[in-house]
Amino acid sequence: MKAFCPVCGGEVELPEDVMPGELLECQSCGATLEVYEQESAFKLREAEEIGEDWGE
Amino acid sequence: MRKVEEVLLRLLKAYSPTGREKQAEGELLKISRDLGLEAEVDEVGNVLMGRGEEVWLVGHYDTVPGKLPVAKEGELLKGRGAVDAKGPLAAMIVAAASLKDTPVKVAALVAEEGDSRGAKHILKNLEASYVIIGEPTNTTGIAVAYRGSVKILLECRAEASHSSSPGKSAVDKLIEAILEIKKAAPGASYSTPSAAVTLIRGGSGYSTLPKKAIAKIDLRIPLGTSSSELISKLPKPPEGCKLTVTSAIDPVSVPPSSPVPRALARALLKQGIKPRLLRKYGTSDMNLIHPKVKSIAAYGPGESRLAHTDKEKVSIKDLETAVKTYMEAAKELSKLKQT
Repeated sequence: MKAFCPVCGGEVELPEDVMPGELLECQSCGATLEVYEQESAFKLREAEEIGEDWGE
Repeated sequence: MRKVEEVLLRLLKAYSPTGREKQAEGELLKISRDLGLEAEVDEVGNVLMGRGEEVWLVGHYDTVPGKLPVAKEGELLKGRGAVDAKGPLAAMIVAAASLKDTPVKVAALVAEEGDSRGAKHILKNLEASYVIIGEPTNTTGIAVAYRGSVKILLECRAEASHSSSPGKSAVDKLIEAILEIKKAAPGASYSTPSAAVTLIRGGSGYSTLPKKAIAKIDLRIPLGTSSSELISKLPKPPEGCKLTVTSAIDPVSVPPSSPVPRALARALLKQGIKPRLLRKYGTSDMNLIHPKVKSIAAYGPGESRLAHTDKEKVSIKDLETAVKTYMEAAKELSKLKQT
């Protein structure tokens, strides 16, 4: 299953069992992306920025 | 009383600062037996519970020093280690005991807050493919990166003389060396190396220029820099001072699509919880274990900002969420090895 990176337009391979809300990275540009569902198709949008957290 | 609540209260009552884990070791063995988990203690005091080799839930049962009253207040459990990291460990143990058909090992390590000898020891024979590290990530977070760490000992010496005399004392030289190190590691942001003085000692308080002074400094390294690179950039200490590197650990980062962070995210999504990716300022056993396994990430209940403070507490709701998350993630990871 394929979708397109909203940042660079590159093709991103999605796992067969992907769920909306999953997070993955674009292999072409490295952007962190979030899977969402629209009209029965899985698409990608930029994920929330990775947070910084204290300690261990 | 809910199972995870009972397990955590038992662990909290067994105060176990680094180096004094023995009391909690006995309690862990009793807990394992009561929950029907096989358990053994290795040569350095790590307690290994459950069965299975591929999927490991790895926590630590030492805490920073500073005993706190153990209490249940409403739906909150309080005590030293409630957040870092007996809360995550209790949830891992209950998860493993609840997984009847999924072999999973729980490792409760010693010395994570110290020299990590627990993690270093299990690395010698580790056969796990997938490891979840038990550290607080605010219950909805998944830690995919930790900074590295370099610890140094700075020792300075000078001639003793009357404090009214001109000249640099050992303390003056130490201060000079510390300030130079802080320039090299200003710590202005996550991406900048940081230096924290964790111990400083010198002088007698009498009218004598100190002839010996020492400091311990904890440097943290961002992603993209190795420990050896940072060490090579440390300034040469002033005459009369000696700098010794006492430990060096590289930073670690895993992609969110890697099996362990993915399994954790899916486990949260199945509970209707939006997962959040985190980069940690600190260093953990994940840094050491990462090179030896296929995939790894950290997850756990509790507010990480409370770790190492006198306000450590965790809610039973967060503990229960963590139990379900560990269970669901372990089930998914154990299926991977079969494909």
